[in-house]
Amino acid sequence: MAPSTDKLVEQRIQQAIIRALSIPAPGASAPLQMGSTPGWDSMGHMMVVMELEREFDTRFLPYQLPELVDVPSIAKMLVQPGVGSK
Amino acid sequence: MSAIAHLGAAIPDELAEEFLKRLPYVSEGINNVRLLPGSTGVQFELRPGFENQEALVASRISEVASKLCSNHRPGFSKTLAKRDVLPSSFRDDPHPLLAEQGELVSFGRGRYGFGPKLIALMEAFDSRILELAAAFHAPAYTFPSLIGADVLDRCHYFRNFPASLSLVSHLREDHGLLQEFTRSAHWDGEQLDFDRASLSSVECLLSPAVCFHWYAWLGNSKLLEPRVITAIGKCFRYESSNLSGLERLWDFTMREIIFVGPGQYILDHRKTCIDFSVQFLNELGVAYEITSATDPFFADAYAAQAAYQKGFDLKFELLLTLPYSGKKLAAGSSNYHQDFFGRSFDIEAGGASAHTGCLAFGLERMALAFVAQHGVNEKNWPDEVVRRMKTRSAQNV
Repeated sequence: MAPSTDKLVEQRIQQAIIRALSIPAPGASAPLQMGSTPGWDSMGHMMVVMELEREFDTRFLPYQLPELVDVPSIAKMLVQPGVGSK
Repeated sequence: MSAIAHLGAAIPDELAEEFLKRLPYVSEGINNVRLLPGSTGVQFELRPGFENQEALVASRISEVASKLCSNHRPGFSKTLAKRDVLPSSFRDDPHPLLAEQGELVSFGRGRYGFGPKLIALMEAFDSRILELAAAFHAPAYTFPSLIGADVLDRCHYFRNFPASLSLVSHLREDHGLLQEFTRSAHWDGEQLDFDRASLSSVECLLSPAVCFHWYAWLGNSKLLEPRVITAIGKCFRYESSNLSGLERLWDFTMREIIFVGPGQYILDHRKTCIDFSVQFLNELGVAYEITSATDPFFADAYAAQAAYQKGFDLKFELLLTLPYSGKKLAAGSSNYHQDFFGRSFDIEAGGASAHTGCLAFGLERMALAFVAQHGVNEKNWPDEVVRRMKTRSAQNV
C-alpha cells in the first residue's frame, strides 16, 4: 500500500531537515526537534528553513519561523494560507 | 568617472538603507554611491588609481544586492511604543552649534572630544539607567577596551561582522625593527607610513560591545542562579565612509545591563527593560519609537540571520528622531540572544545552556538625539535632566 500524502510530506520534511543539518537519519525514538536534534540550534534553524523552502518551493514569513520546531509543526504550517507561494 | 552597476532585481525599499551602508566595503576605490530610481541600479564613482576596477566593483555591488535580497522576508516590523511629538521647534543640526560652544571637537573620522555640558548630559542619562540596574540589584563590573580574538571567535564575530572590526597590533619584539621604526615612521598626511612587516600578529581587537567580556567571564560554568550585572565601556566599530558625526562613531560609549539565566528569566526581564525604556524616553520628552530590528550582519549571512532575529523577536531598537535630517537614530537596543552565548561559552543555567540578554544605550547617540530635539541651550531642557546634570557635575568636582 502506498503511503498517504501526509506521510509523504512528513518524509520530505524529514529528509530536508537531515540534508540541512548534515546529520544521519535519526531513529524513531529520537524525533527531529529544534533544540534537541544536534545542530538544530539558532544557526541551524535557518538552514532548516531554507532547505524546507527549497524542497516545497515556498517562503515562510518571519513570524512563522519560531513555530517550525519539529516535523508535525512544519507539516501543519505548510498547509496554512499564505504558505506555498513566493 | 561615473559607472553603473545593474542589479538582478530591485532592492526592496526596506532594505535600501541596509544595502547602501554595505557598499563602502566592496572596494577601497568606491565613492559617491547612489541608488538609481527604481532601485535596479547603482551609480558609483572610482577614486584615482581604481579606474580599471569598474567591472569588478559593479559585479561586487550586484553580488551584495543578490545576497541581501535572496532570502529577504518582507515587512512585519513590530513597534512596541512610539511618540511622535517633538519637544521643541528646534530643527538645526546641533553639531556646528556644539562646536561653537566648545562642547564638541572632531579629531578625525568617527572620533570626537566632548565638553563638560555634553559629558554632564551623558552622565545624567547614565544615572537614570543605573537606577534600573539598581532595581535589578545589578552590581557594576568593568572590562577592558581590548578584547581577545579568542573571545570574538567563540561568538562567531569574525564571520558575522568582519567589516566593523578594529584589529590591534603592536611592533614586534625585535630591536632591529624597532630601530628602523624610530628612523622611518612618520605621518604622511593620511596615515602612518612605516614597514608593515614590523607589525605583530593580532592577539586582541578593540571591543565592539560590552557584554562579550561578561559571557567570557562566566564561561565553562554552571550558574546556581541567574546573574544580572551592569557595565559601561568604550566600544569600537569601524564604519568606513558611513562614519558621520555623533550619529555613527568609530569609538563610542555603551552602558549595558546584562542578564544571564534560563530563557524565561531573560524574557521576563526584557519586558521590564522595555517598559523602563518607554518611561525613560518619555521623561526625556523626546520623539522615539521602539521597533524590532536586525543586526548589520555581513552580506553573506545577512538574509538568514536577519530573518531569524526578526522572526524570533530577538532585537528591539530605541529609535530617536533627528529633526534636522528627518531620520531616526538607534540610540539603544534590547537584545535577546537565546542560548547563543550560553553555548558559545559553555555556560549552564537551570540544567541547559544559559540564555542571555542585554539592554544597551549608546550615550553619545542619546546625547545627539536629545540635543537635536531640545536644542543646544540647556535652559530649554527638562528640569529633571538639568537637575541630574548638576548633581553629577557637583560629584565630579
